[in-house]
This record gives sequence, structure tokens and C-alpha cells, in this order.
Amino acid sequence: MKKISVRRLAAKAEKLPIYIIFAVLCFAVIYPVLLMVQLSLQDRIELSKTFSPINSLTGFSKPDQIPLFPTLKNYRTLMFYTPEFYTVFWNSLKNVTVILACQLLVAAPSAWAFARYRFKGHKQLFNVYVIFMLMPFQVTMLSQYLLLDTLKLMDTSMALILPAVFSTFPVFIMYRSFTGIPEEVLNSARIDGAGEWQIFFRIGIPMGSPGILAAMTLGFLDLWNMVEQPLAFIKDKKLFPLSIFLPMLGNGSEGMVLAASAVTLMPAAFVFIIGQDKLEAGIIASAIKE
Amino acid sequence: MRAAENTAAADIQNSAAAVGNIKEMKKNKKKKKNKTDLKFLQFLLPGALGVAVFILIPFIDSFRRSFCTNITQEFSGADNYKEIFGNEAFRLAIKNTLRFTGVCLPLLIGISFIIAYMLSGLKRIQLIRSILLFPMAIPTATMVLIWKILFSDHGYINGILDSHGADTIGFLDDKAFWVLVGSYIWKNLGYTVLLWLTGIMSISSALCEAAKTDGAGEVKCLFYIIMPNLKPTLYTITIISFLNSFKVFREAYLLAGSYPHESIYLLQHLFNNWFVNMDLGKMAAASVCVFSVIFIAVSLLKAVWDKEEN
Amino acid sequence: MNTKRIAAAAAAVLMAISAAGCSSSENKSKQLSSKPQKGRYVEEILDLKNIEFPSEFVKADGEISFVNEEDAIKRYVSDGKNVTSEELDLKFPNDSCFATKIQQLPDGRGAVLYTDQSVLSFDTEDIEGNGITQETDTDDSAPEILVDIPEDDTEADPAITEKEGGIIGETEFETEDPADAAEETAEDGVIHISDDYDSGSRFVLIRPDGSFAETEIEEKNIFDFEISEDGRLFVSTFSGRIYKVDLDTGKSELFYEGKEDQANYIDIAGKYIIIPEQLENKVTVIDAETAEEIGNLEALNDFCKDNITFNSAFSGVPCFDFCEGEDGTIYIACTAGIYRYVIGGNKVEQLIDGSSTSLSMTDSVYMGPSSVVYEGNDSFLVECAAGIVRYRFDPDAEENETSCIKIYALKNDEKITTAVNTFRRTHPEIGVELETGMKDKKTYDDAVKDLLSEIVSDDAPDVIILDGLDIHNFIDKDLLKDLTEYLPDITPEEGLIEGAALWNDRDGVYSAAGCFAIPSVACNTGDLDKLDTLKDVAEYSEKQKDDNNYAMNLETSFTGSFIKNLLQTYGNEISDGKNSADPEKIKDFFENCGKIYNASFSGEDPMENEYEEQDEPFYTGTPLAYLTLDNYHLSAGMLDSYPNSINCITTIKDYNDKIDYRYGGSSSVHAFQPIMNAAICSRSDNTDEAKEFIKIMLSKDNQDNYVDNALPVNKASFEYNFTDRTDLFVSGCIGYGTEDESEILYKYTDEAEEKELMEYLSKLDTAVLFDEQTTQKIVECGTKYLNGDSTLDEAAEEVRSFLLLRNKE
Repeated sequence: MKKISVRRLAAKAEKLPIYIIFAVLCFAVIYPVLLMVQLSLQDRIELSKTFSPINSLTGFSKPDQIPLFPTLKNYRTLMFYTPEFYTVFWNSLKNVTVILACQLLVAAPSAWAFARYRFKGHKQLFNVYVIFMLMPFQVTMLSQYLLLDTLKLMDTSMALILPAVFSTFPVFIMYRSFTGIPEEVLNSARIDGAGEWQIFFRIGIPMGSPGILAAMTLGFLDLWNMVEQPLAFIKDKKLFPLSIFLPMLGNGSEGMVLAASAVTLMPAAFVFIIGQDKLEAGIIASAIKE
Repeated sequence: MRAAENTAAADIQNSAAAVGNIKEMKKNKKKKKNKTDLKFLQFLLPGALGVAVFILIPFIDSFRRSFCTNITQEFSGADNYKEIFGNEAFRLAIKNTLRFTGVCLPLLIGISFIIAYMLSGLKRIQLIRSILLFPMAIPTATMVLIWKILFSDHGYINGILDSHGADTIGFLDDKAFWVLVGSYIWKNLGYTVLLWLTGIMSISSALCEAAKTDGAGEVKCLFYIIMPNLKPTLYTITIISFLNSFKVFREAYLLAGSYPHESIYLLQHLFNNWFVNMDLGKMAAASVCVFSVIFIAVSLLKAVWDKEEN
Repeated sequence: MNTKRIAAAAAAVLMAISAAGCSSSENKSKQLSSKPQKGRYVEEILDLKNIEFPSEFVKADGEISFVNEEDAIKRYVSDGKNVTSEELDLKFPNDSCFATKIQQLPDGRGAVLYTDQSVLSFDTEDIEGNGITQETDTDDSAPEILVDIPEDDTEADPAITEKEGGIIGETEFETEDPADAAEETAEDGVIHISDDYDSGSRFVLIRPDGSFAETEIEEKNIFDFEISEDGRLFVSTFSGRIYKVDLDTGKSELFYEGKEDQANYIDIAGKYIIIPEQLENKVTVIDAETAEEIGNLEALNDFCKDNITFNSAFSGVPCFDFCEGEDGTIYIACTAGIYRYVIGGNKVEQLIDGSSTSLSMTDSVYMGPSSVVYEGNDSFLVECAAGIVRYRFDPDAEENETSCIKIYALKNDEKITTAVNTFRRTHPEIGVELETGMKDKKTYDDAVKDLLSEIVSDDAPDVIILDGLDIHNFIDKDLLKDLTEYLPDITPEEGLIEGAALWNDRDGVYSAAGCFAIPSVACNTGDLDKLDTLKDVAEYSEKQKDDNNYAMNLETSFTGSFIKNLLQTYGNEISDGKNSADPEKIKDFFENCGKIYNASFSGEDPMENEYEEQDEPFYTGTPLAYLTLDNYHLSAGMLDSYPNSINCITTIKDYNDKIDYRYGGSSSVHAFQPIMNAAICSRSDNTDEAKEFIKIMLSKDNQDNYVDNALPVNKASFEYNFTDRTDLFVSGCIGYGTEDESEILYKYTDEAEEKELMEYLSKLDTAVLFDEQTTQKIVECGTKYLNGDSTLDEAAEEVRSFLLLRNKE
């Protein structure tokens, strides 16, 4: 006969209020997202309950919390009747993947250099990197514009890709996990005759993978929503990314904006779902090491 | 006697060999040191070059512009700096930005820490973590749309208030500051919690258990073991949250345009408007000032952190 | 983990879909892009005199022909280079016939839709004037009821206007039993009820000798027809059906059922018949052989939604046209330009940009191109407001250009396009690029940032149209060139209305205005002295409302334009001397607007007004024209054209001496609004060419185009309106008096009136001009106040803090 320990039950009951708090918290956090998704399934007439008070400034917005007449019409209009959508979606995807891949190639070695090699001035240089990361875009907007113009990169995808590839943000994130690798591991590899690059690839990258993944994940989210750079540097509509397509849809097509938002959301959500597990694994692994 | 002689000779031989070895070791060390001195370059160079071209050069150009007149680019000394320090809008923007950072950073860090600590004691938190992370994935334009639905003068929340006979609240007017703070926390909570969790979980549970057997309570464990070990995490979180606090400009701009309510008129609004008005000199001078301030702040932070580490 | 796999799979699917969707559209466009990269389309307006209303082009046997529908005596044939004409000898049954549409093939066969006025049984003008609508549910859209209007104009019994199946609006005349009323011929004011109603519309075939032959179409009332290149005739009727008619025998067969009772224009483009549906705002395409509907037209429909309009002032005539292209493509001509589309494809590609050519010109008759035909060899013929225009692709066009200028405007406008076209015609060797800042819903901020970036990066525009921009800031930042030294050169020999054109004279002349508008106010005779400021107007309107229930009409019935109109008319009171507003004066301004608004609507909910929100105010005459129409006693607004505004109020004053008007809202200030302010950018490399542009903009050749719809600054062009203009479309009756309901006939201005106007113009001293940001903010907050969404204090405070903040920066 299995005896259910009273203590265990009590312990679980103790945790109950905490679970309730979290349930409320999570609901509050996820409510706007749910609102958006279920609004995107409403047709124009139902949506007017939500939007016409705001647009015409009379009455109050009363969004239906659940679509009474759910329809996929907004998605259909978006997917099949809006050829621009594919172009902007593909632009975003293309830009972000290229940038992330190049960031990996450029930022990971840089972070490794800062983390493992105590060269002269590395602290100051790293500080400078951090500060560059923190500067808001408006500060160097005009100068960047002029630079890109001189390099004849204006109005091309490269105008978005190149400056982003060399962003110092991923360097910062990856740095932390690279510093966590014990030096002995590297030294023993060196004694075994491994070259620096081999050490980097065989030891550094696997052991620093939480940081790398974190940088990629955060980087993806940031780049997926990049707004100021395309507005300033891109004039050709064919090169617009998804992030500025959304604000350009005006009043009257809110249904499509919502559907487009939901679709924009999906890749980011995928990145989470896929990246989270690896992150967790990395955390566990590093915890065990200790 | 021969054996002793032999051992002595052997000793001398050994020590000679030892000295030789030491010498070699020293030589090797020197060699290694020289090699490592330059090894970092091959890792750093490509990134650094790119940074120099795409980030440093524009900044140097801005720096140069701060000493010149607007369009004609004649040298004008410290005129631009004098102008911005006397500029009321600049002061307002700085005040608001500092206020915003000063309010939302501690709030975010504190709330997320509490949540992370609570979560660390639970099992099967993956769902909660994922949900908290979700807001980060939402594009800004969508968020603004939702905020408009909820918070506008004719929005959902005001509708509920009105139907219960209460006064409507001008969320997007005088309370805009708090809407922005709330939006910031909502968006960044998930990742900050995750970072705290990463930090907390990487602290070996053995430490805490050992302390507990010594008779320390939960609270002591928290204050004396966990918190001190989280300093690096705190540093990272502070920097990232600081970075994200600048990004809130996007929401403010999409919600309220380039001249919002005074309480949310941030530095970037000013930059944006200076640009529109072609006040390039002022923009450049202000960027240099912002850079300096951030430089000092980050250096201080790093110095404090480094000292703690030692 | 399952979720992970699902997520990864879904991500892969999404990527695949997007890549597929994108690449397929790219492929399609690659297939189409036979357009060479170099060169551009060159416009040539054909010099064909006396063609007022050309018919649609008919293409056959390598020839393109059209007929002048106005007199139908000449037929024109183009072979791609020259246009020859030949006499037409159409044998109309009598002299009171006029053709609505004629198409004739080179061999002489054709068809004509005409109206025989001699058999008309009611006066069409009566129908328009009394607002009588026709609605039947029988096959023939003819009304079933005749109402005889007796000559002594006694009251009618409205009940008899209804009969089952047919309703004719409301008349105000009594009559006897309608069933006894006999069919009679047209007389002024007579509406006949009969079962054999005849609208006079006839559709017949044309034989090569000019004689007519009857057709055997079942339905009598033909709406539109079109002859294809291979000689097939398609006819669309009021019931929505399309019949195929044999050109020789006249035999017809039902070809396409269509939507019930929806009359549509039809267009033949190669092997497709294109039916634009105005009500549904979409386009249906059917196969010209099988009448099958073609699907997959989302891209075309999307395009049409935004770019296709019908001329509602002209019984819904289309302001666009389709024609056949090469390889199954069709071409679409509209004000936005000429486009190419592959049926079933998903991209509509632009070949010629309308905004920098005559395609975007409109006038009272043509609101867009009415016909287009592809001549082959990358050449198009288009009928539009500019006349008959040929667009031929010239690969060397750009090489022939010795230089190029760039013109920047915040918002594009027909006046600018007209000036660009005049410039192009005069200087074909100078290329012109017209850049619109705020197109595609771009905000003011982004547009100005773009402009600034261009200026700083050596890509500066040469000419900047300053309307909406922060002009004084531009001058402060040395962005505009002083035009003083050019003045002798750019001033036309006819002279300028200098107060209006060269107003921008802050220690140097920085811009020249191409047109202008002047404010005016009108009220009961004798009260004009009381109206000097907006406050006076507000108080007067309140008093009038108390006395007379209605006080004011500003001819716009919705709040957005209300504020804007008052902002323009009395803007001098809140201006800060530059192009912004004084923060402290906003509250009073809003308060006065509120009083006038309340007086105008006497408590009615303006949202119930049937007019839809439009960008431009809804004009039928001028604000002051309503004075006599509806018992209003006060009106204020901008006069921005001679025939439509200025001359209307002079006419009304002559008609009714109870009303008096004054130029200028206030008697002490001679305010005006300069429009189309052209300036030269100081960072431009092509100052000589830019100067040429301004010179041509001010020249009589260009300014003559503005005489109908704007007030030109060129003296000679302006004074053209002093002559008795028999060419005016608006001449005739401009309204009806409220008291005696007699017609108000348009009267040309006499010398005294002209002198009065010129005196005002000679003393212009205050330019009223606000930048786009200020205007938007004031209109937005003012509208909120008028709608009741904010209190006066809140609205004023919002504008005030915006202005103060902006000043602080």
C-alpha cells in the first residue's frame, strides 16, 4: 500500500498559492497576445466593435473576447490577395538569417578574444564595445546614412545587413559564457597540441553554447522587429522588411494588420520553442560542471 | 664512497638538468606569451574592423559635426554645446529619460528577481517561463495596436470604467509614462527572469544545502549565498535592461507621435525632431554628451563589479 | 519533444511557402520585363485642333481611328506617325441628334449610340435639377409614369408619383389622372408618363456609306458598346447583359448574362472583355470567345481599387481604359500612369508614371484618360485632358538629355504636374524627376528626414516646392537660394501679381508662388463693418442663430474641413509671423470655431450628414453661393479660383442685394494664401535649370492652365478671366434663389468688380501659410473639441504644449 506522505501533500499545498499567483501573472502577461490572436479571427463587422470607437472617437471599444463568427478571412486576404506580404516576409527572413549567420562568424571569435586573451587594453576596448551597443540609433543615424551613401549601399539590403552584422551586442552576450570555461580545459588541450582555432571550435563553441544561443535568440527578436534602419535607409518598396510593412497598413485594414501580426509572431515563437530547450540543456550542463 | 659520489654527481646532473628544464620552461613560457599576445588578433580583427567602419566612423563623424555649423560645416567651436545646455527641450528630455530609466530599471530587476527566485523553487516551470517570454516576440506595431485598443480614451479599459460609472483615465495623456513603464516591464520580464534563473540555477545547490545543515534559514541562504554569486548576472541584466529601455522609444513614437505628452518626451524624441528641423549640430553635440554619460556610467559599473570580483 | 518537432516542421513549411510565393511573383515579373533598362517614354501631345470629345480608339488593320463625337463630321486615322482626317457622312435622321459614342472601323462599318432629342419626352435638366431618381424593376429601365406639369406650376400630389414597379422621386406639381395622360413631346418642365416611354437613345450600325442599319437586339436600352479589332461588336445593356452583334446583319445573340440590373461599361482588350464594376469596385474579365469568367485576378482588382475612378459628374464615365498589348498582356491607362498586366498574373507593373506626365492632368470633362491604344513598337496613344497624347519609348531619351533636375514636393498636386509638363515640352533636353515626399502614407517626419538626408548627401533636389514645409527654418539654415538676382529673368513679360507671387521676402526673395487664394467673408448687407475678426464672426453667427435658427454654412459639413477652412481664412490671427501658430492664441481660435460650428448646425449631429469624409471640401459653387440658397446669413471661406469662386459671389451679389461680401476676412489685413511655392535649393548643382523651371512655372504658357481651377499669378493669365469667357463650362445657371426660386444665371464680372478685386490684390501684405505639422495638430485637436471628445481647455492645451515644446527645441 502506498502511503501518500502527508508532508508531501502539505508541501504541495504550500506551493499552491504560488501557483495561483503565477497563473494570474501568466494570464495578465499573455492576455494581450491572446487578444491579438483571437481578434485576427474576427471578420470586419465584428472587428468594428473594437476599432470603430477608436477610429471615430465615439463610444467605447468592446472587443469580443472570443470570436462569435470566427473566420480565416483575414489570413486568406493576407496570404492570397496580398502579394507584397510574401515579399516583405521573405525580405525579413532573408535579412535576419544572413545577419545572424554573419554575426556568428564575426562576433563569436571577437567574444572569444575578449574572454580568453588578456591582451593589453582589453578591458577598455570591451567597455567601448558595450557603449557602442547602448547608443540609440538616432545618435549616429545621419552619419551612418552618409557612410552607406558613400559606399553606394543605400537602398540595398546590404544597408541593413552590414551595420547589423558588426553590432557589438552579440559579443557582449557571448562573452559571459565564454568566460565561464575553465582555463585548465583549454590548457590541457593546448598541451595536447591543439591549435587556437581548434580549441575555439572544439571546446569554446560547445561549452559557450548557452551564450551563443542566447545571443542568436535575442538577436533574432531584435532584428525581426527592426524599424528605424529600414525607414531611414530603404526607399524601394520591394526591399521593405515585414516590420515596417505593418505600421504602413492604415485604418480600415485592422483585420489584416492583426493577421499579419500573428504571422509575424510565429517565427519568433518558433525560435523560442526551439532555442529554449537548448538553453535549458546548456544551463543544466554548466550547473553540473560546478 | 663511490655510491655517494655517484648520487652527488647524479644530484648535480639532476639539478643541472632541472635548471636546464627550468630555463627551457621559461623560454617556452616566453614563447607562449609572445604567441598569445598576438593570437587574439586573429579572432578579434574581422569583427573589430567591421565595428570600426560601421560604428566607429559614423560616431567620429558625429563628433566632428558637433563642432561645426549645420549644413555648411564650418567650424564653430563649442557653440553647439553651449546651445544644448541652455536648451529647455534638452533638459526636459534628459530629465524624462533619467526618470524613466530610474523607475523602470529597478522595478524590472526587482520584480523579475522575485519571480525568478520563486520559480527556482518550483518544478516544471517550463510553461510559465515560455509564457513570460512571449511578449518579447511581439512586433512593436502590434503591441501599439493592442495598447490603443486597451488604453485609448475610447478604449476597452475606459469602457469598463465608464460602464461602472467611474471617470475615464487619460492613459495615453498624463498617465502615458506609466503605460510606457508597464509596457517595458511586460515586454522584458520574461527574458530577465530567464537570466536570473540561469544565474540562480548555476549556483551549486550544494552550497546552499551545506549552509542549511549549518543551521542557516532560507532567508540567510538567499542573502549570503545566492545574491553575492549573482553579481555577474546582475551586471549583465543591468546592461541589457538599460539597452532595452532605449528601445521603448519605438512604442512611444508609434503611440503618440513626435510630440507626445511632456512626461514621455524622451531623448530620442528630441533627436528625431532635431533631425527633422535640420539642427544637425545640436544633434551631434547631444550625441557626444550621451555617449560620454553612458561611458562614465558603464565604466563606473564595471569598476564596481571588478572590485567586487577581486 | 513533440512540440519542438511540430514547431520545426511548421517553421520549415512557413519558409517554404514564403519562398515559393515570393519566387513565383519574381518569376512572373521577370517574364514580363521585356522593358529595356535604358531610356524612357517621351510624351508628345498631338497637334489636333478642334477635337473636343474624341471617341474611343478603334484599332483595326494596323490603323487606329477615332471620331470627334462632338460634331461627328470627321474621322481621324493614325498610322503610327501621322494623323489624317476624312469626312464622315453619318446620316442621322434629323438635326437634333447628338452622338454619345461612335466607333468606326477603317472599312467604314461601325456602330453609333446617339440620342435623338426630338423624341425625348422629358427635359433631362429637370431630372437633374429636381433630384428625381429612376428605379424600376422591369427590364427596361424606362419609368412607367408620366406626370404632366401644368403651366401654372401648382402644387402636385406626390402620391401619384408612385406606381407599382416605378418610382420617380418627388415632384411638386399637381396632375390629373396619370393613366389618361398622353405621351407628348418634350417641353420645358414636362415629365410624361406612358408605357411607351422613349428616352431618345438609339443604337444603330453604320454602313460604309454612312447610312444606318437597325440591330435586332432584344433590349432597347443600350448602355455601352465596343468593337473589337477583328470586327466583333459587343453591346452592354442596362440590365447587365452583353450581346454579341453581327456588324453586317445586325443579328444579335446573348453573350454574357452578367449581374442583374447593373449597367457596366465594357472594354475589349485582345481576347478578353473587361467589365469594370463601379458599385462592387472590382473588375470582371471574361473571355471574348467563350464568355467564361477569368479567375485569379486579385492583383488586378487590388490595383483597380486604388487607381480606378469613375467621373461621377459625368454619369459615371470611366476615367481609365484598358487595351490589348502583346502576348496576352493588357495595358491599363489611368491617372496614375500606364500599367501592364498579364491576365492571371500577380503583379501590375508600371510602365509610365502618371504623376510626371499629362496622364494625371484633369479638367472639368476629363478626370483621367478616357481611351488608350497600343500602337506597337512601345508606343501608346492616349486620350486625356491634355488632348491626344502619344507616348513613345525612346531608348536614347536619357542620352539626349544634357542635364536633369529634381523637383521635390511634400504632396503632389496637379498644378505641379502641369508645370512639369509645360517645362518638359519647352525643354525636352532637360530630364525631370518629380519626387513626392509624403507618398504611400509616409509621415511628415519621415518625409522631411528623407529630404534632409538627400540634401546632406549631395543628392539635393534642385527645386523644392515649399508648401507644408517649415519654410522659415529652411531659410534660417541657408537651404534656399536668394532669387533676387534672377528676378528680372524669371518674371514674365506680362507681369506678376507680385504681392502674391514674391511674398517670401525676408531680406531676399526665397520663393515664387505659382498660384494663390484669398479669404473672404459675406453677410447681410450693412453688417460687414461688424465683421473684422474671427471673434466678430463668431458673435455674429450666434446672434444670427438666435434670430434665424441657422447662421452659417461653410459648404463643408464635417468637422475636419471646418477647422481647416477657418484656419486658412482667419489664419493671420493666430499666425506667429512665420509658418507656425502662436500658442497663446489657440484657445480663442478654438472657442470661436466652436461657436460658429454650433451656429451652423443648430444642434444637429454632424455625423448624420450624408456626405462622406473626403480629402477636399465638397464644392458645388462656392460657400457664398449657398447664401441665397438656404437662408444662411453668414459665410466665410477661401476663394481659390475665378470662375468657381470669385465670379460666383459677384454674380450672387448682383442677383440679391441683401448680401454683401468683402475680400479678406478682416478689413485691415490683406491676407492671402500662396500656393505652389517654388524655391531653389542652395545645395543644388543645377541652379540654371532650376531657375528655368521657375521661369516657366510663372510664364503665361503654363499659367494659362490654371485659369479655371486656381488663381494664377501671371497677370495676363489672371486677367483672361476679365473677358467674357464663353468657353466656360460653368456658365449658365449656378443655382436657384430661395425666395422666388428663379435661376441665378452666371454673370461675368464687370469693370467695377474687377477693379475692386485688383485693388485688394495690389495691397496684399500677409501671407498665411502653416507647415504640415502645425496644421495637422490644430485640425486634429480642433476636431476633437468640435466632436465633444475634449473640452476647450484640453484641446487648446494640447496644441499649446505641442507648440511650446517645438519652440523650445
